[in-house]
Amino acid sequence: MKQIKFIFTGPPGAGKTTAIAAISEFPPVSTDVFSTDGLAAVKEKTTVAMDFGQITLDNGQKIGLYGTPGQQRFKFMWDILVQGGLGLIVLVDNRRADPLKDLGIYLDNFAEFIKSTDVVIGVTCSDLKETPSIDDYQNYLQARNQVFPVFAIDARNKADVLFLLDTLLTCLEIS
Amino acid sequence: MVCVWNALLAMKLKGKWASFIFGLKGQAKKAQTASENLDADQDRAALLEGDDGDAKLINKASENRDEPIQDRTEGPTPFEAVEWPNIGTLPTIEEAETFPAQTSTESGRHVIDHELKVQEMGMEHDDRLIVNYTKLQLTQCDRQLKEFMQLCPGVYGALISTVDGHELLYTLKRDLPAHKISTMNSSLLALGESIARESQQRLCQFVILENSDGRVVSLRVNDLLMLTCISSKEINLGMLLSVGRNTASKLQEILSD
Repeated sequence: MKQIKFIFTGPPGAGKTTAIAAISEFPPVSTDVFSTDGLAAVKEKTTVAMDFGQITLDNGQKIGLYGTPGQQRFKFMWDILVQGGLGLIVLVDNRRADPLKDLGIYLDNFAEFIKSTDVVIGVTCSDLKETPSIDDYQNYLQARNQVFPVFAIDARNKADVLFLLDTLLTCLEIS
Repeated sequence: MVCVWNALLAMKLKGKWASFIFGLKGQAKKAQTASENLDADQDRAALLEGDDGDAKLINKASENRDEPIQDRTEGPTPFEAVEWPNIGTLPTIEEAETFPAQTSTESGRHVIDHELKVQEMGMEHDDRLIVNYTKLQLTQCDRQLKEFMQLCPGVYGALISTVDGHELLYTLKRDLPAHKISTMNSSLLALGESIARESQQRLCQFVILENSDGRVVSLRVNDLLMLTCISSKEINLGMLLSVGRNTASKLQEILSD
């Protein structure tokens, strides 16, 4: 059975590595190194190449979980990692200055990939900063003529991340 | 006439013996000549383009950067970050010694962390590095890079960059995108180290890219910095690795002071 490939993307610190670690059936392969720029104030380490984890569904289907680096300077890795991908999970950190703009940047940069697949959006840290709300995200997507599922999640919580994957699988089955 | 012919023959033979005996020297000279030719070609190219030579080929970080994909989230940067000196304006070691140390031997990473916490977060975050070295250290590192390139005639690029992909210092003999190379090599080194871990091997010492017309070798300097060496095939791999390792050790020593 061919392995399905899902890609996690989003701004640095949104919880991509954490989300993959929460659901992967083995300790994820990570390429985290010390942050040496302004990001160091937010987190000590950052992903510079990719994260890789795996999960097996009840029917034996294996899903490869690939996390991208968040920073735009690593866009070459985004382009490499989406090759052969089946679905995209965008995680957005609600604590950031303009999470809606962040979301737009990732949707734009992955636009080509999104055309051929589906997207689900997870909003992290919404318990620490309530705005923008899920409705705001939906309105933002609507203004862009896009319709994607948006959920508030805790990237550390396995059930939350699995719920995102379930939703993405369902969207893919329907489309 | 015969005497003249004999003398010429003797000189020719002497030359062959000399090159046989001093073959290495001959090679080094050949390499040096090739390097000079390369420099001369670049100078010529630079002149044709209206540049003023190597000075403009070195450390043009801003020109090497990719255009941002979209506007970055603008935000104030309330902390006083250290402006990194341009290689072209680095002082000599003697001059640098007279400068006041910016944070002396303390790690800037810890010194300014507190102030950074109030920074507005942008998509790419502030590019100004929080690794903090004195001008004297940077000057010494710059000198090490240049010595490295002199020792290895085929090397046409040596870059010190952070492990998360920001260039710190570099010397290039060709017009190469230092920012891209730094970023991509940081990914490559991290991947190499991950593959080593997954293969249950320790201490990834080098990541080597062997190409048809050259090599790219990356290795760590310390926890925060890495060295990337770009060479033609003029120099053998063993020499490149050996001198690269020595240079990284010297850099580590300089930066740990």
